[in-house]
Amino acid sequence: MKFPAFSYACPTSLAEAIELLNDDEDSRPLAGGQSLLPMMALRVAAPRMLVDLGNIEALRQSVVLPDSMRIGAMATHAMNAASFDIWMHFPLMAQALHHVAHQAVRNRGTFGGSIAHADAGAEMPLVVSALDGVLLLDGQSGQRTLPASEFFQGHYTTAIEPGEILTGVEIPFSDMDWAFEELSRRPGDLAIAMVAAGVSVEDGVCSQARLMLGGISDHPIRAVEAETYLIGRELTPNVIRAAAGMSAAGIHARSDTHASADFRLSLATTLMRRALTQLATGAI
Amino acid sequence: MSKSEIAQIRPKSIGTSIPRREDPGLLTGRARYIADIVLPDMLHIAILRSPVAHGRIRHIDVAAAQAMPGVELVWTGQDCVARCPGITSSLEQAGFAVTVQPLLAHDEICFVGEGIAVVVAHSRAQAEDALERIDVDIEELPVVTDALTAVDGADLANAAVASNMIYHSNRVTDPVDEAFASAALTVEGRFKTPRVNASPMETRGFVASHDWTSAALTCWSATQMPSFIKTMIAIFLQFPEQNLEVITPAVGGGFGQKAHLHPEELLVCMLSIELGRPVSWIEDRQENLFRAPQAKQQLNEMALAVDNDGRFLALRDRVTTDSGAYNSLPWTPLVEGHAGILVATDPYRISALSAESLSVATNKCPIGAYRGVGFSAPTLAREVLIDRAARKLGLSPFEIRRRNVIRQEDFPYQTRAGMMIREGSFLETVDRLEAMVGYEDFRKRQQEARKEGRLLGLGISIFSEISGIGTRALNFLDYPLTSHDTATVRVEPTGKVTVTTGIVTSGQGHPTTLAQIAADAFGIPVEDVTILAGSTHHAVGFGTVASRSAVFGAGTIGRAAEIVRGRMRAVAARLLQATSDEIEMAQGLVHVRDDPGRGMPFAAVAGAAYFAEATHPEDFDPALEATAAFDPSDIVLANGGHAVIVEIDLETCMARVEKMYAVEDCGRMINPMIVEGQIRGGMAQGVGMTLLEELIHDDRGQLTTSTFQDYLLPTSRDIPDIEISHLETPSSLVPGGIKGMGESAMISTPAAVAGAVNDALACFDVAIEQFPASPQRIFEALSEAAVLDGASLPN
Repeated sequence: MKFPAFSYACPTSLAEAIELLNDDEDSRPLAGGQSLLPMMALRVAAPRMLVDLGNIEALRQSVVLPDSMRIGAMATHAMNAASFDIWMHFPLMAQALHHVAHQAVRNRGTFGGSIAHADAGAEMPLVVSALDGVLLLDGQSGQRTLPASEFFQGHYTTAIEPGEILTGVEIPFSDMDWAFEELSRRPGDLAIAMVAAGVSVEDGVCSQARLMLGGISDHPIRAVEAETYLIGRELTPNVIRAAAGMSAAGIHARSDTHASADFRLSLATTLMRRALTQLATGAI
Repeated sequence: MSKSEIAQIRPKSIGTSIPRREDPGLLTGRARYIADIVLPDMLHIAILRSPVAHGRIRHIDVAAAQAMPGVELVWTGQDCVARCPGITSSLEQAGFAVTVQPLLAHDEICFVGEGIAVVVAHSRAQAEDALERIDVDIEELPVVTDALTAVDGADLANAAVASNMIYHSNRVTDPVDEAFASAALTVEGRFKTPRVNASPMETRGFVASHDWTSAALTCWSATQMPSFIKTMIAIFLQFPEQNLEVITPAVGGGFGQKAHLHPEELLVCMLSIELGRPVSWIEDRQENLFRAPQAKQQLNEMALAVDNDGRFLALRDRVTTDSGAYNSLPWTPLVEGHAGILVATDPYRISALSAESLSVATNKCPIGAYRGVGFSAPTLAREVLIDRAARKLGLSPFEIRRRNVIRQEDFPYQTRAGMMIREGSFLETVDRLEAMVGYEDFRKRQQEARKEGRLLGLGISIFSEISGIGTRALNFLDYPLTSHDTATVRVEPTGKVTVTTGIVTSGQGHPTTLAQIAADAFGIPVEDVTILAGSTHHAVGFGTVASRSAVFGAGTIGRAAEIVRGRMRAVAARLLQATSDEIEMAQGLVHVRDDPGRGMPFAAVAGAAYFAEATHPEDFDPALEATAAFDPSDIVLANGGHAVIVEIDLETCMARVEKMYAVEDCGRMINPMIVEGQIRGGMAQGVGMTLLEELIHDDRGQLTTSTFQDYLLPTSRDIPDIEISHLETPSSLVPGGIKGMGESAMISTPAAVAGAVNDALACFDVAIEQFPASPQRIFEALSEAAVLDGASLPN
């Protein structure tokens, strides 16, 4: 479990980092190292060059804008968990952060690193998907943005092009109420299944809904049919049950050591019902 | 004098929770572990491990690896076998299959992770780089992964093991058919315990340094059995034993995994001899998961016959151990299922036992010892069946056990497997546990919770533990081995005491507890005692295994101290004008019995022995130093029980432990704080084995849980509060009344967790017999029973 030999650079500017990444096609950006470094130690990954983003101050910064917040890719989970702005604007994210690994990992692991790694069981990809985050990418051919729905393509697979760096995510403020539910084998483990549910209730009926499932498939899945069903309905136990059932319908669930596809779908239904029940009863 | 003689020790420090003297070093990172052993010119190794579970090496090319930077030497199995054929392991029992495990495979490969080649380089990283350049061509052979079908299958896991049968025993064959035919109730099940890895915080490791000028070989080993390792090196490598030293540095947990001779240990010795330089092997975590001895994988097909009153009539058990590809040394797979059937009835009066054990070879890593060894699995099966019988008869789980445990009036009681139980507090354990749990209240709470959709379950386990395992206990368990320790006790001229012991520690606190024993043997303050351990230049020890160190520490130190005490008493008698028989030692004084005024400081007597010949009696032997051996005259049996409450979320199928209770009777406790630490650690491991941990092999014999991301150890957040209560039934076979207890929690906690899971699901008539009780398994069981369809609880 020793690293294979690699070159290492620690640039202080984004432009420099992009140049370094493009100089060597076998280079990888290094964020908090909580996934990449174990993979290198296990020799599952062996990049020739690591470009450490840790000294690029701009990537650590998060900015509150009039209608959104831009969260820096190199903000650590611990920084975000302690951020008043995130707690106020994105309670969903604040809740989900409690499930992200353990303190030691949160101290080094980064928001952008988790998103770019795109493990199907990781919380942050689900959160930015649920909140309609816009992924900010920078590369040799300039900056570009991508909605989360186009960014996450599969387990460990995203739309980041070689040589590009994820610099942050811009997340619009949401006027919905949000709930998060997760099941993992042990506290802090990657999720077997998780859901993010957002609703607005006006005059007793649901006027807006956003339902997302994570861990079930190889990327976050939006339950559009269930969302549509909720609009105009009161969040009664029966409605919630029906929506929860709908949310998992038709998903091609993944199967691994810890959970079969059938079990994941059952969990999806249960967790969605619990999240919606939280929202309906205010029992958050 | 007999090696089982019981010396007199008057407990004073014994019984007190003094702080552990080794903790300052351990807690501030100053203790030196095997990876801290750094020697001039030291080289590092990495081992190429087989990617296939069964195959034959067609061709291996190491030229490219040999040319890599920093590489000093590359060896294949062919290089090794010429120097050492491998580790031969068998037991002298009829029909026991011998296996020879090569240090590196040279022909047949029998499991994923088996060593194929070794690279010696200036750094571990360079050695790992070079591994990638070794070119191996392996012809794949059929893979045997299932012990049950392996027996009748045509494919062999290891060409040396005919019919894949390492050992088949019908040790106890009481006729039980009649009992089962006439029983009011028979409960039976097929209980599968998982293959697990003890996963000590520190992995294995070994450093060898051969000095050609003196022909001495000095080894450092993260081991529980240094004396054994030393003799095995001498035998397998034909190395002169007098020139060998095995040093045990601080060891970060062993749990049985480090109580074996590992092929890597011999390999490192050979490489150091070959190169004339120190060579270090520090196992990494993945190697540990693949290759360190694995444990606990048994199938117990068990049935219990019960009469109308809930009395046990007969027990039948057929246990199959998935043994892996080679016999570990010294334990062999007998340490699992076969050891298990011999304690299957304890601690209950069961008048008929029919027990069969099969140890079956598979293409997996060899099975070895892990805390609680083979006792955990049949205890789990038996206790779950007892709960099931209680439910069917409408008895409380405590009541059915009360009706069956061995009682005071039964002692001495001989079990059907032949063990003599002289003492114990089985009934008191049941009563104490019931009071701790608050049984009636629990059942009410369980009812209430069910209305809220929460499933609570209570599991109980009553156990006895063969502790302080010496020759008698080993022979009872069918190991034809001899096991005694020695200690040397020396009283220094200023009255301080130096003890050299063969007992090594891997976190159990022996430097503290052995000092407590020695202090009480001489009636002096514990601060005045130093414990020297950790080198085979010291005393001889069988090893820190099988809950034996407290027993052997007390036995050896007690006997050696008694010899020295006799000499000091002779001097004191002369000085105090009394007879030797009248002299006592207490509170730092040597005085005439019942007359502390007629006495003198302990140090003064020691000083007289060293420096004042005039005080010596005639023909006095002034050596205030003695070495003595100890081996108890019979099995030293501890006992106790555990209770566990779990909550299962019916919808997520997740089981979490809410509360755990332990009752421990290990005789007189040396240090209650350390006893409780042992209980808590063992209970956490018990939760791991029944809810989380499982080494999963696919049908190609590939380990799919190859990192700690998938092999799930319990964390502090998975372990709830543990309430502990003590009973004290002193041993009549050990000085001070001491018994061993290190394994008890791991013997019996898995049973209590398993019982709790089953109790929680009993309202649906759903049983879980395969462990760990993962959410997936509970989901499958509930799905099969069509419980989940309604997704709500029947009130």
